[in-house]
Amino acid sequence: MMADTDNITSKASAAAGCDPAQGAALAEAFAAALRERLSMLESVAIPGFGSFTPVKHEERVETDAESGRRTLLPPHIAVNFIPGSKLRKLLPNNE
Amino acid sequence: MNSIVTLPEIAAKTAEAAGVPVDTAVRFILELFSGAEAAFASGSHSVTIKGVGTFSRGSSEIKFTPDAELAAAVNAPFSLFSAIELPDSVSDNILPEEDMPATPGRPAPLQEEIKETEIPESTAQEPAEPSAEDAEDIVQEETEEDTQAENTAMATSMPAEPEVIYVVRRSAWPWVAALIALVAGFGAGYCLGGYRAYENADAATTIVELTSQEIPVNTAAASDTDTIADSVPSDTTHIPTEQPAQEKAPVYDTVSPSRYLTTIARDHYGRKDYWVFIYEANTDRLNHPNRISPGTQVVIPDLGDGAAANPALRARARSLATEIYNRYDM
Repeated sequence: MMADTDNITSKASAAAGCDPAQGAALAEAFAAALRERLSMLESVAIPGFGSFTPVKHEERVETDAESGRRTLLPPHIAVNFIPGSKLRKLLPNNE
Repeated sequence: MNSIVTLPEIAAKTAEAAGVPVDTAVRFILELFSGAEAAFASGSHSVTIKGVGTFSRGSSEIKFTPDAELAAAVNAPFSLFSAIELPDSVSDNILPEEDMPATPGRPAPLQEEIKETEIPESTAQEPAEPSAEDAEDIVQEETEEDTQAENTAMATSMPAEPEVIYVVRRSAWPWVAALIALVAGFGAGYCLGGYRAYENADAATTIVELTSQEIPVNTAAASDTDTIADSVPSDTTHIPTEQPAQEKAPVYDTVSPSRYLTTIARDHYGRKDYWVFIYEANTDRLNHPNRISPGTQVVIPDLGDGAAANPALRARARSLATEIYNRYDM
């Protein structure tokens, strides 16, 4: 089951005392701020939920097991997510 | 280590962009993620937040897949690079090997296959393998990324060149030459110093001719006095020619190839230049001072105690030497 993002955004707008338009603007502004910070290789921490950490991976050579062809993959930055304590408690193994 | 942006900081940025108060932005962000948390609590297996990404709940972890726009923005510096196929002539050693974890959205690297393939030895000297922690540290430097990107591009077009290490070798010849000059200087100084000491003390007995001559044994004190009086100019008052009350027995010595008048004078008086007194005391048997035959016995006149330190005797010795040199045109 997948939660609807619009549903979550509207509920957050209502809880923050904003109208849906302001809520959408806030969501868009938060996403832009998150992109900006992560692009600067800075981690963003959301209390209780978790933190987003950008990690750079160097270029590497990947070999196809079947054909044996080697491909040079360029470097990239991956955004890792580390769940917070509240979120970890919701995991089945931690219940 | 990445710097951490706290909620107030990102809320301030969000509020500024949205035109709302900061506390409103803070409340909104907290409620946004609380909603996602509530969705998980209600049984949802995945939650998607627009602009952020998708959170998928597994059995023991929560996987995060960033939003496409977020991933593109973060990887904007590498947007010009693309995967390329390496030709067989290019060695894998051109890149530092590292253990990279599987990232969401990308297949895990085929580490086993990479390790099993035989990598030909390359003449290029490769840097040490960085660990995963080192890889994170390298993230901070964008210039290093550009350099590596360039190296990667170059590696595919040209073979690696071996490093050339230049060693500056210092020549030892200047030190050897200085040592030789030092030793030569010491030797020359030693010889010169000895020569000059010899020259100052004895300038008249550099040449000795060996001839035989009988030496009469007599009381040479009186004859010496007469001889000295004949050949020596005035000013003999300072010379202790007077015999003490108790006459001492005359002292003789013999000239030999290793004992000249100067040597005999040094042994008896302590000064080589007092040879003139010995010569003057033996003029009846001595001619040219440089041509005294070995075996010639000479009388040693008594100059008294402390003759070596007597300044008058020293002056007298110098004048006598000049006189004797002039006598024989030496």
